[in-house]
Amino acid sequence: MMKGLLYKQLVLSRKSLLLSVSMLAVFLLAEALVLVSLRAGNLARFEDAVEIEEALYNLFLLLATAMAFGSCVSDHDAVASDYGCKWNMFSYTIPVKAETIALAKILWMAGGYLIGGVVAFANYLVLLMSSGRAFDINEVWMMFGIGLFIAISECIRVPLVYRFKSSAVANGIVLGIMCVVTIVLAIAVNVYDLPDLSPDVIAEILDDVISTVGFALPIVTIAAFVVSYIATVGAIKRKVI
Amino acid sequence: MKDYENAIEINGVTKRFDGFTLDNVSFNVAKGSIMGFIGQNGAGKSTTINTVLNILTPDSGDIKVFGMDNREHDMEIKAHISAVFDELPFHDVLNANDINIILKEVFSEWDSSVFSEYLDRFSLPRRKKFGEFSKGMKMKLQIAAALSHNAKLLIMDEATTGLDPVVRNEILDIFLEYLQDEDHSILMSSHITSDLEHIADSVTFIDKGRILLTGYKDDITGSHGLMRCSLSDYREIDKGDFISARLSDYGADVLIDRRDEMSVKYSGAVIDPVSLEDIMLYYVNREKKEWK
Repeated sequence: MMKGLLYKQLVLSRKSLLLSVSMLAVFLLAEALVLVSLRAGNLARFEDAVEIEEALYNLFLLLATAMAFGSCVSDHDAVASDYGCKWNMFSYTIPVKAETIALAKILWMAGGYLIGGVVAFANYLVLLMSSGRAFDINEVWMMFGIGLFIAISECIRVPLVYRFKSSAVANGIVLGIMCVVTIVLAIAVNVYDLPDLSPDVIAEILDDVISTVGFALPIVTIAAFVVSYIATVGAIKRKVI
Repeated sequence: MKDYENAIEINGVTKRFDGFTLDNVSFNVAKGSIMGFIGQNGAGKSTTINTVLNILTPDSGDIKVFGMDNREHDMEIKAHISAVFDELPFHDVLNANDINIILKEVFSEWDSSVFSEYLDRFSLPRRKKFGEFSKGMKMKLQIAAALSHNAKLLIMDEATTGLDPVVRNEILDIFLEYLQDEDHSILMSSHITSDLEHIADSVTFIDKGRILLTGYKDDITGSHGLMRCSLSDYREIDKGDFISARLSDYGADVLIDRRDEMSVKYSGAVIDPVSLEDIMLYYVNREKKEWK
């Protein structure tokens, strides 16, 4: 039963997934060329060449990691399209439990999180080679921290789409939550200047957070998927048609 | 599954919404028969079907499918029913091969060879995306899927609406073939009564959330009649003797529901046979009593 639901998810996501992977590949090539070019001394005449190279490295790492996790963890609007074509209605007429449907969704996201991690790590290796930097375990943790942030947002979004039958509403709520959390964190930390959330500052914040609570990452990740599973089962059982 | 007399038994089902109430609905679908469930749009057909499918939970009343409570034995029942809707519930990017792979995992009794036979019979392509299918092709695909897992009960909600007569007849023939097995039953909701006129064994008529008529189709059409008379003769008829009357400059067409009794009481009056469509039309206007 699970295989059928996962197969459906794969078919629905296939086009969007291929597009994301293609974009990521192009981005990977571009960032490698830029970093190699910088390494060859193309910014040598600028006084702040080191800072620019540092900022670009952080930007590439953040963006590529977000793209890798984002494209792999996402359900690619499959739930919303289920509503669009009445599959949800149909799913209540076939012998499939809400728990099975929710588990298929969570397995897809969890699998996507792991694959996204592999892709992001491969990107990291390309970045290291292109820039000539040394391996830093904290950067790896930071990547998985970004992945977790994306996974949590998807874990919140999926049950919300089931609840409201609309990606737009769910995306709005998730975006709102993310904004509130970011602002609250920034105020709570009271160290970083809120308007100046440039990639290197974000990287610095994540670095600090990861070095402080990095050990909790796997626990938080698993907890996010479990909570999302429970919320998704609840939303499916509401039978919004 | 133990033996059962009725494929569906609905007893006193009530479901309240803001502005609409499904009110004390009761009827049975006998095993091996096809029941037509008729009523105008918004009468409560889909709501009733959704309670049978356990998509909606009624406020009161109980529903048995194959002799089992539809909430307690939800999964067991759903393994042996097929629901067919007016729209294809499969995504536009899927194709028939994908549906075979998905539903093979869902239904333990899914038979890929039967599905393949129906695809061939309906001349449906296997690799073409559903987004490129016509409405008729989509309906045929849905029926092919519905008949490929040994379902004992087909529940159709306005499934033939919007189809051209050729495709509709083709599909109705498939249903008659399906009913050759005495374990198979069909509940078919439609507001196109001509379809049901051809194939239904029994009919249930719902209006504004209430069941107005339920029984064998021949009994219903046999007990009703359309009395055709002049306007002056019409004025002589007791108001309690008819459902409603359609008046025109040339006279009155009066629907009566006790044909034998009325033919004696109003001897000499012309009483024509009625179609399900006539019955539906006159019952819908019963509160006005007279209409044009």
